[in-house]
Amino acid sequence: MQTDLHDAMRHIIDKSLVGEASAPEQQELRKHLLECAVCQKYASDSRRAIVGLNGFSFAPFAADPGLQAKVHAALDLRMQQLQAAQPNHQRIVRISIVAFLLTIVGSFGALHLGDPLAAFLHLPVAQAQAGLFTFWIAPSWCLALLVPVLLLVSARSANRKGQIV
Amino acid sequence: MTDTQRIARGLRQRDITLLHELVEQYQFRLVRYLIYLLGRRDAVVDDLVQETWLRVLEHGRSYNGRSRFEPWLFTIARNLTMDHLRKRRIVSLDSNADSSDQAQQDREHPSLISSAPSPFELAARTEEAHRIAHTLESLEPIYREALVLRFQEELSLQEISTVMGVPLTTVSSRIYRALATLRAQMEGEEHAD
Repeated sequence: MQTDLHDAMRHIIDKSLVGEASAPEQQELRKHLLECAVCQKYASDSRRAIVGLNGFSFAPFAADPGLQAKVHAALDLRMQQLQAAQPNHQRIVRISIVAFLLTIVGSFGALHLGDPLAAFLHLPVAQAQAGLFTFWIAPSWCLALLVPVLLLVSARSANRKGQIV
Repeated sequence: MTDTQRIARGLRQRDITLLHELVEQYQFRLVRYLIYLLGRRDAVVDDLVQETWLRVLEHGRSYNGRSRFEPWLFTIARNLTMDHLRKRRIVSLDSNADSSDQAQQDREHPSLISSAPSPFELAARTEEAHRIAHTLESLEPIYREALVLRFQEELSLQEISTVMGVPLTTVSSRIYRALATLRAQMEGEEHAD
């Protein structure tokens, strides 16, 4: 019974150290600690362990001027690379817009070719238009959509190759 | 504008001056976190520190400024560390495989074993710290990580859960277990005295 109580209190001590104990639990713990040497020792050892953790100073490791300089230089270089890649993106956007405009104009023109084409090939108009759509309009839309994707992928891979090691 | 919003805005605009400021401000904590995670201080830590800051620059737009900057920074560092360990054919931080990898290196280069004190021994400034330095060294990385994030970085359990990518209950149990190991060390030394 007594062991159960200690176990329960130890669990509350752990929760309290981690910041999970509720106010009633804290109060119960305070009362218990006043009269239980075993749990007092448990709490004190736990606190010493945490105090021990704060007794490390990693500042000399982090203040390594070589590392600081390396990080700052790497950031500057990467920033330059990113800025250099920026016009590339703008060019990709411009090319994509032109590709879309040409595709729209081309598609519009192609739709009007249905009648002369049907007359020239002696085909029904619907069939000639279907042919135009399959062999002209659809492929040009696919290409227009693929162009920016391919350009972006190639720009990104070129960017990666230029990354700092 | 809060500090986190200022950081988020600067990162979105890729403000290099802000980046340099962040390096000055958080480098110490980043290095400490990585030392706890890897249990050593060598060129790997330097590389991971550098790579973390480069990721901050490149992916700064994904920081929204609604939560603190530290957990976001540590999450990047943790992911890079995991990638690094995976590349070395180590599956998870949950295993102590990195230590065994180190042990393998030690076997291959015996001259390096005892001569180099652990970063924890080197960083210990108080008697209590010296007492637990060895225990920390032998503790599995996930437990060391839970300790540093809770008691040194003072992150909330929710923030630790985000960084570690595990549920809150797992975070708590890792901290309890790590504390139990340190406590056992303290008790053991008292009995030895």
